[in-house]
Amino acid sequence: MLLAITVYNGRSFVPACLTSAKLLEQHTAEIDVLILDDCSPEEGFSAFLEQHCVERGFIYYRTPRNLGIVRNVNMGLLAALEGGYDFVIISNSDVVYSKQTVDHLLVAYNSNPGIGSVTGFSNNVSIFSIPNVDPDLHLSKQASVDWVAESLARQFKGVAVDVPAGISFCILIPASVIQTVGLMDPVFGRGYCEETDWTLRSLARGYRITLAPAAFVYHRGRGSTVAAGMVSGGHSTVPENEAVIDFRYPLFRDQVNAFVRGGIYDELKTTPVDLLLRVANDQFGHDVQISGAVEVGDAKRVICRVPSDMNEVTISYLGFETRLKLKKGMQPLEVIRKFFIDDTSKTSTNAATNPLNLPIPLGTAAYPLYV
Amino acid sequence: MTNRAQKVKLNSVELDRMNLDQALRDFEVSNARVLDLTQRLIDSERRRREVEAEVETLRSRLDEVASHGNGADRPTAEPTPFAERVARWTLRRAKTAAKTLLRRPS
Repeated sequence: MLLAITVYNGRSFVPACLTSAKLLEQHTAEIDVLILDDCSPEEGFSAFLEQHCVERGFIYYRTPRNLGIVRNVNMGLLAALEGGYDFVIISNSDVVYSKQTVDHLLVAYNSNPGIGSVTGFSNNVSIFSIPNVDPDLHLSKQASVDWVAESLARQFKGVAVDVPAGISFCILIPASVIQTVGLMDPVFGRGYCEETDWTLRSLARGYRITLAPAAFVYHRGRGSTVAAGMVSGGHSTVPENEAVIDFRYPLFRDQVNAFVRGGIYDELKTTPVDLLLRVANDQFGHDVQISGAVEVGDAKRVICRVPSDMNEVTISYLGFETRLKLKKGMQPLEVIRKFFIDDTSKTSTNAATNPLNLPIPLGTAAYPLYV
Repeated sequence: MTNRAQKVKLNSVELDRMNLDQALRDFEVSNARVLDLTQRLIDSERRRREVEAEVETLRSRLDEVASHGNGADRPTAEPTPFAERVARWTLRRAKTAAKTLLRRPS
């Protein structure tokens, strides 16, 4: 397994990424880490990065000229092919992996022979993101990432959910699929949408595009691209590159809409959050705060807030929140008990006995294969 | 545990070689795309000119039809559609018949 991390500046976030890469468990694969420094212009940064790599035993490579994200990613794909690796994980450098990220990605990949790519799960992975009130505050620490991943693995380990397109912030690709599909298309210039194009090409070749909900990775997002001046302000993409996708895949937006309206999208938003809250309750317990009363909440415990009008209960932990509506005559404590106790059976199962509540088709994509 | 059949040891020299090799491939692909796109651009420009000329012709004919509809003078030598000629002939016949009837003593 080759973990290829693309870097362009980022002194403030790259070290945390490298540290978490060093902590990756290697139960299912031997992992080599390749750092692809895209000729970072910040003075002294490349030397700083190389030193970090030497200390951790990572392979460091700085390109003689700036390639842009697409061609830098292609360097990772090529290195995997020419280095004889079975798999490559293409990753951004503004991420923190859980210790089990690689294992979870591989287990999800092995769940079905038709899979061509597995995208990690994250607080920031396009429309598939798990909602969190403040991810940078709550989820950027290694311990938090590990806890979230371990908790999600209780129910989602070995699960691969079909998605309309992969996201290369952290995506596992088998070398055999690269040989069939090829590299990312340099037409996407400095980056954005190249992985959409690549995964849609893989789909056209008959491969499934999947996401592994257990493979949680914290993603700060836009770290390298903002540093490179590719996107600014509230933009999160490059319109010119989206136009290329629209031109090549006229039905893609409809496929995304079908995915969003098809139920899986909602399940990806709610089921993991509910699971995390229940696991946190099992491990740390919960406090109930009635509005107006003195707050007794412990940040290390699940907080259940009941407003004075008693119309809902907000259950939160580590920035994850769910709201339970209270109908007339319902007691808040009863609703809370029901959420935590009556549904705990769902959190204690795994993929072997209960392959998620998500409506995952067996062996087929969850949306029309129009492309 | 996945096993790896090592082909190339990844180091700066090998990665430089891959980088250069791929850069040359990218150049070839880019060049082929430029040639292809240039040809498409030429074809597209030719088609654009043809369509523009066709639009001009249609626009002038539309103007002519519109002026006929307003009853404006038209050169007599210009051919007219058959239906229009029939209509004019019928009108002339009607006028002649009306005049004949009006002259006839009651």
